[in-house]
Amino acid sequence: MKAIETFLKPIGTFLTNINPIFLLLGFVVIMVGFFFLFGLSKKLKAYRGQMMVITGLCLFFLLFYLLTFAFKIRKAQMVYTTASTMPHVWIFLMIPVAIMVITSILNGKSGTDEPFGRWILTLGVAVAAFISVFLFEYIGYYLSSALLLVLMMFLLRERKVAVLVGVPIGWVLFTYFVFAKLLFISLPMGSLWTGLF
Amino acid sequence: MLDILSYLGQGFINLIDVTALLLVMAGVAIGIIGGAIPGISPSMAVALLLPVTYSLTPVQGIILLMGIYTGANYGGAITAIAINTPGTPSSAVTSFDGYPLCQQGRTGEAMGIALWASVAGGIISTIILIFFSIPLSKVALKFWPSEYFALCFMGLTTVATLGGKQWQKALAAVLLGLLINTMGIDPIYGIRRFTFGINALYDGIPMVPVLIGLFALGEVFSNLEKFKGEGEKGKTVDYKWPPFSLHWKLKWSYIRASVIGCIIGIFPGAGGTIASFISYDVEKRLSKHPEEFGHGALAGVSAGEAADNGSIGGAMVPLLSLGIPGSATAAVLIGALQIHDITPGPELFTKQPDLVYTLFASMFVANACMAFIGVIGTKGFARLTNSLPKRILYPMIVAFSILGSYAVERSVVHVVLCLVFGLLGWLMKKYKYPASPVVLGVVLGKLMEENLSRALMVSGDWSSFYTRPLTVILFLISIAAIAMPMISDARKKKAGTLSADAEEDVD
Repeated sequence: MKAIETFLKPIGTFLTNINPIFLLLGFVVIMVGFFFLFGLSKKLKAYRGQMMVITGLCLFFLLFYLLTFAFKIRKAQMVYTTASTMPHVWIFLMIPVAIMVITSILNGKSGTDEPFGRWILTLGVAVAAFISVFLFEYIGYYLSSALLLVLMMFLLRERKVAVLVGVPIGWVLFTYFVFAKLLFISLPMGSLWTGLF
Repeated sequence: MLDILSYLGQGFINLIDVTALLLVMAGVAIGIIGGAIPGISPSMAVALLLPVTYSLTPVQGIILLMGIYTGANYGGAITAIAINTPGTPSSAVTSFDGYPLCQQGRTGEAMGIALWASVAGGIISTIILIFFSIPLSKVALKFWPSEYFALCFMGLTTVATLGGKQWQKALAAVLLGLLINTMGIDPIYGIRRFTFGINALYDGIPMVPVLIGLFALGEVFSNLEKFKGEGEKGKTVDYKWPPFSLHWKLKWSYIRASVIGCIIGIFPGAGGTIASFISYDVEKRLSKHPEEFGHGALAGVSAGEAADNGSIGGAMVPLLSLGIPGSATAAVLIGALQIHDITPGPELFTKQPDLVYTLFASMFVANACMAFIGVIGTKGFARLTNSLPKRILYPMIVAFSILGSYAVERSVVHVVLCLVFGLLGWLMKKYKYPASPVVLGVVLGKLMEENLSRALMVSGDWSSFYTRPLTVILFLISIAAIAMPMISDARKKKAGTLSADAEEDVD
């Protein structure tokens, strides 16, 4: 046990100190690798999506397991439970559960994967939403959310100019009066507007 | 008994006043709207209106806030049913069957059952509160950390029901919820865990972005993938309220869920969310058609909603009799009482019975108002969401999700989390991984960890988990909850094999 800890502690410390963006990139790269790996076998290809989800979860659990070795636990705190006790319980329980999930998938109990539909539209909307959130800081919530609404409606084939203009304006007015004025929840104004006024 | 009834009568007389009735009505209406908006929790709605009570008398202030509390707990169900966006964490369970009912065009039935189950839950729990608050508060005091841990464990057993045939995937999902709940500052030792250097994660993963992401955004992303223009039009939607006979059929479900909600609501920290999950589990196990659950079972809607509103009465038990809040909203209510120099506790019943019983009476009136406003208002909301073209509705849901997850803590990180969970919810839905166990894990994770550590610290070893009778009873119930379906399945299989053998013999 001690030997495992000695071996894994530097890995945990390295992962803790690394920029989370690199962790995310590493995760994506490994998942892409698994995507191709599951495509090699005809049987696995039919369950590739389901296998990718459980593999992603296992990878996530493994990352958390390694990170627990970098917790700054003092010896005085090592009584009955430590900060890593509960994470370890859930992580170790995942091992048999993952085996059961993989077995049930490969036995065909869940059926084969559903084919992809317009996934580009879904991803497009998600990416637009992410960009809109990052724009809060610069152009503010109101303009950012209005632009997001216009873009999403356009992607969903709304072509009436009155709707494309009216809905975002209505939304901005609603959020301003309900949240900022009535509930006193200030929404980000963005550096553009605070700089101007 | 007669004393209680006479005090209660006096409480009702105190409410026969235009101002008081208007305050209850306004409170309920504000609560319903607040509850329906994702990101505005019941506690937040009550806290926002707290300053208004300064200018009111103590009785007026409390009945206004009780109206908000009652309305907000129900309000979450409206969006849960109409657009699969639970307005409050405790209404997540309502969406499991409410939204499928809405998709089947049975919106009126789902809305009606949710409304009247909420009213039933509120009234039944108020009755329990009035007659049993003192003995129940003693039970609450007997709950040690080991009992809380066992109660949470009991909550976890509901995952077997939530997963159905995909129970292995449900287990994986609940473990994900439990693990992400360990993110943030460790509740006992204050050590940073899995925060990745992001300050906003020090408080851990909040419930609202997870809920909105998994349910609302997950559903929208999934629908976008199948979006084929305006082919959705032409679906007939029935807005008719369910007949009385349907409510009568569900009477035992209403009563059971209300009692479960009230009992679980008593324990500080447990609250309406755990109550609704456990109640849903109980209903599914008792149902003759468990396969309908998750696909539009009316009993599923009634179980979640009655337990959710039943928890209000429960949360008031420790608040009034011991001065301990049973939920976040109850904690805000304690603040409101203290503003008016009222100290909740055992003496409140003897020193200020007028105030206590007016409060009880206002809980009945608030539920009546909720029924009235609900009948008028909820159909309108459902009609609006159903009449909106999907090309407008979906962008609005995304915009609401972003706003709701931001509003709780005013954190952009929470919005990003919401979007990440939205993508996860889409993938989970696509690949048949149930998303609801993740929510269960997030609800129970912290409570389990805190109480496990406390139990070990208090008793010095693991003995409290097997020597305290109440803990043992709760564990036994949990084990029975897991074992019963397995035994029943094995029996069915055996019976199937025997009958197959018998058929072969006949052949």
